[in-house]
Amino acid sequence: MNTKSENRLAFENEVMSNLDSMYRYALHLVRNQEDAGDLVQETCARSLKAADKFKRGTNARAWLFAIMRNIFFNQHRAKSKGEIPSDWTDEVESGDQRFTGSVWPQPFEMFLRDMMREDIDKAMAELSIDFRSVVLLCDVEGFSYADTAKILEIPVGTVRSRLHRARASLQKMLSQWFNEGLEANES
Amino acid sequence: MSPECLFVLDHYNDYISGELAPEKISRVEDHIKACPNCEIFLGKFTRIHSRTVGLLRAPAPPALRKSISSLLEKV
Ligand SMILES: [Zn+2]
Repeated sequence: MNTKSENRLAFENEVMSNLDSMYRYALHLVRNQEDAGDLVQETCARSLKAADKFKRGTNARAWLFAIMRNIFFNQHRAKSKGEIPSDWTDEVESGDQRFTGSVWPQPFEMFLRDMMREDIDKAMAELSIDFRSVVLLCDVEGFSYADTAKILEIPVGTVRSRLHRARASLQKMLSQWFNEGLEANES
Repeated sequence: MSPECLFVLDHYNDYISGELAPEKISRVEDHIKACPNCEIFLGKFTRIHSRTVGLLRAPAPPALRKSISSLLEKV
């Protein structure tokens, strides 16, 4: 077997460390687990062809997401604008993790957690795909507004306003659940 | 409601997103320390937000991880 280039190894590392994120985004796009798995596979296969051009410091994650979205639109809606943006070398803020950590240490809470997940999935499903997309990219995956704008090919201001409205809707749908479910549990 | 309360209302989403300039972050945080209403509001909002987001972060299935890993080996 040939020795792999440094770029290639760095790229493989990026793929494996972003696999959870890629799968979640695929699931968001196709809505079932089997197709999501296929979409991730296809994204990896497609991106591998360009792997040797991959440079360390490139925002590989945003690049992979853009490729995935592109494949999805080509396959499912035939209305992709085609090209993957080439300027993925922009600095990316890692995102503010202050509010995003998991807060569920005890095994007892697995039960509550599953129930809440169901409600959260339902609440997410209530959002239009445009709103769900920005929640997923900005909040779940921690992309900056700028990178989210690039991936979705919409203006930054649109990312911001959709995110704010989507969060407000989610809060409205979920606040009762959280108030009742959690405060009782935190005493 | 004071002008600083309005400032927080206008900026808390970007604050949560980590998209706020440092001087505005301080302005939000200084006000929260001084205003119980805003502190309660933002505390509740971020609590629901972080739990929602945390629960949405499900991992990829192990089988997929395996097959991608072998795809990378092969090519
Ligand atoms: Zn206030």
